[in-house]
Amino acid sequence: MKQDTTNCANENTGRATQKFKTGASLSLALFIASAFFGVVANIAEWTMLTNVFVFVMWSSLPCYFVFVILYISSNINGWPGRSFSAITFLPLVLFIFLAFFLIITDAMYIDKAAVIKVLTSHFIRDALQLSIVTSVTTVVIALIFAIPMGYALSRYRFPGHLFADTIVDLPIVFPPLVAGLTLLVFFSETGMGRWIQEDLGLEFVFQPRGIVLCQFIVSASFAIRSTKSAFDDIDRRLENVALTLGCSPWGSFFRVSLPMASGGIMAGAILTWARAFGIFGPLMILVGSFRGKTEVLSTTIFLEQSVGNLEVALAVALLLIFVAMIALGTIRMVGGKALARL
Amino acid sequence: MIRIEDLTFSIGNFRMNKANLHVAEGEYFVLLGQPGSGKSILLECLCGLNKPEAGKIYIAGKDVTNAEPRKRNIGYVPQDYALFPHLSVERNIAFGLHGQRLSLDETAAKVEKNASMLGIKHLLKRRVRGLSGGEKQKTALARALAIEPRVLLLDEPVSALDENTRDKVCMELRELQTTLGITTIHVSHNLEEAFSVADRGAILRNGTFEQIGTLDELLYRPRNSFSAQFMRCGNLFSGYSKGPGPKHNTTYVDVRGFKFVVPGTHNKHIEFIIRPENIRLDKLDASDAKNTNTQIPVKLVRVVNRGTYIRIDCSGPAPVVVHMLHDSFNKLGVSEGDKLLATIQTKTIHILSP
Repeated sequence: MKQDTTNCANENTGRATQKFKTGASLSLALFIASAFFGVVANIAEWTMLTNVFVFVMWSSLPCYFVFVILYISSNINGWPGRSFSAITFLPLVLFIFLAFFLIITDAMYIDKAAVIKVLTSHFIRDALQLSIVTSVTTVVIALIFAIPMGYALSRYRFPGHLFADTIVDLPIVFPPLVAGLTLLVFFSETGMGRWIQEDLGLEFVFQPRGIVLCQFIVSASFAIRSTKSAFDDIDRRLENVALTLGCSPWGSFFRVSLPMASGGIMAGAILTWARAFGIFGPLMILVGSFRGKTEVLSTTIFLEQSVGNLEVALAVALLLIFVAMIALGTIRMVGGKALARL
Repeated sequence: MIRIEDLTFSIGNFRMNKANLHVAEGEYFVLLGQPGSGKSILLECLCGLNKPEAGKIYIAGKDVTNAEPRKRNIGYVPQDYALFPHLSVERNIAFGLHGQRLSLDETAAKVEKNASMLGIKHLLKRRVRGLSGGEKQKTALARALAIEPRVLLLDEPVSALDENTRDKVCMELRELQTTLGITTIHVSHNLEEAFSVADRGAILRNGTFEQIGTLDELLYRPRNSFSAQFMRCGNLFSGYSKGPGPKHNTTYVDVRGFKFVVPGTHNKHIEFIIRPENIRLDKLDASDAKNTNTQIPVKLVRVVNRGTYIRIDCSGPAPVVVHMLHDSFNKLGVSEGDKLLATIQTKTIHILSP
């Protein structure tokens, strides 16, 4: 008899859990759909419809969070446990709310003219293209450095290891603007910089090459750090076994270490790309923002807002966010489980 | 087959100084020692993963001291097996065949042969992640054997397995080694495991070989107190010679006021052991007054059932530990607190070298 009661209770809890899950999914779907249509209605300048969608959007978000909190706490017995899970969940709620609030504020501000300008202007198209080309080039170069560097930092202990390890992180804490300033001083004021620019003919200042250099300086650390920790996670014994099984050190690296570290390397590449794609400060200093030559999306935003085109600036910003989200989503899907921990 | 001459190397705080060892062709040799004694590091040295400072390593008569690991033709199974998690069982086994320039069919045939030899043919397509301990161990073994090594080095190959599997795998290892006739060094810290696989062994302590010999020698004739304790001999005594014993070529030895009759002629301080299974316990009234062996009146303190045997701790002038089979213990019919007589035959006493 007692057994029966327990089963019944479990079944009820199960049903309730299922309800909360459905509720959460539905309200999330409603939120995304109303946000999307709200933005579309706003751009099309249908005021009435926009207001409706905005209302639905902001009311579905709290519903979503309430359902999720109910869902995650429905498997927990006792109020102390439930309130604990709810409180750990709360910062996540606030953070997501903040991020959405910002994006939607952007989206609601722009108008039809701005969208048309962004979609038709060939300068902006050029800037997007240059953004993508330079950031991808940066990622490739960063990986060429990061993979051997990460391996060396992970595997070898040498005098000055701590120093080298710290230097690798330095660009992360370095203000990007300072990086641009330093590069400008290096190329214009030092003998070596001038030699590279003038005698070697490798011009960086006011050149697309300079964009890649700036992006590399401020973002390569992410790839190196991530690659190092990926190699740290690989048991040295696996490489040792490969050596006894007929591999040379190169063979062991390419057949064991590299495939096993690929998840971490990919994660580093994503971080590097995201940083490179959005960087703006050092570019303004080293390469400026010449339409059609050194203008990338992030500098377009600055230029547009500095001449008072706030709508266009925000429309470009949305384009940037959109491209970044598509890229991150695609890489995550292609990268599969290895990237889940990112 | 494997010869180590004056091998010297150090890693961190560990140091091995001028070690010598010879393992004959086709022999199953077990390296015993407590954790941290340098067993695994020595194996890595044989594999070529650690570079020695001095000394020579010969495998099949060839000096391989400075050879790369891949040139040594060694099958190495590290602790916890180190299977490649990104490859299937099949590709793990085939890993070492990559450099041999075989055709796909030849590789597949070799993989299949090794897998069926170890009974894991049904696992070939599986990923490493879901395998049980025993399956992982066999995969690692198949991977090591696939390259047809001259020497097999096993680092604690069964310590991660549960007891039943361990016994079974040990027997299989022994059978496999007998069939293939491959020279094998097996690292272990477990005595039962060592006895179930090996012919000969060595006890290693802090990078020094305490004793090298057959397992019976290690068990019954340990060279020093460390070997005796490592082989779990609970009865280790030391005392001073008190003149000739009752029989020819025996000596009385005084251990804390009690006289033992030990074999041989001694005239100074000696250490000796008696294996716990070689001590006979009787009830006090059943004593034989004319006995020329050592007889100690003791009190039974504790009885511990060890499953296959019973361990009896006795206190007295010389506290002794006795191992008895259940049957004999039941026949004796004693319990804790009873007074008993422990009889030690003189010939079963082993004198440790000074």
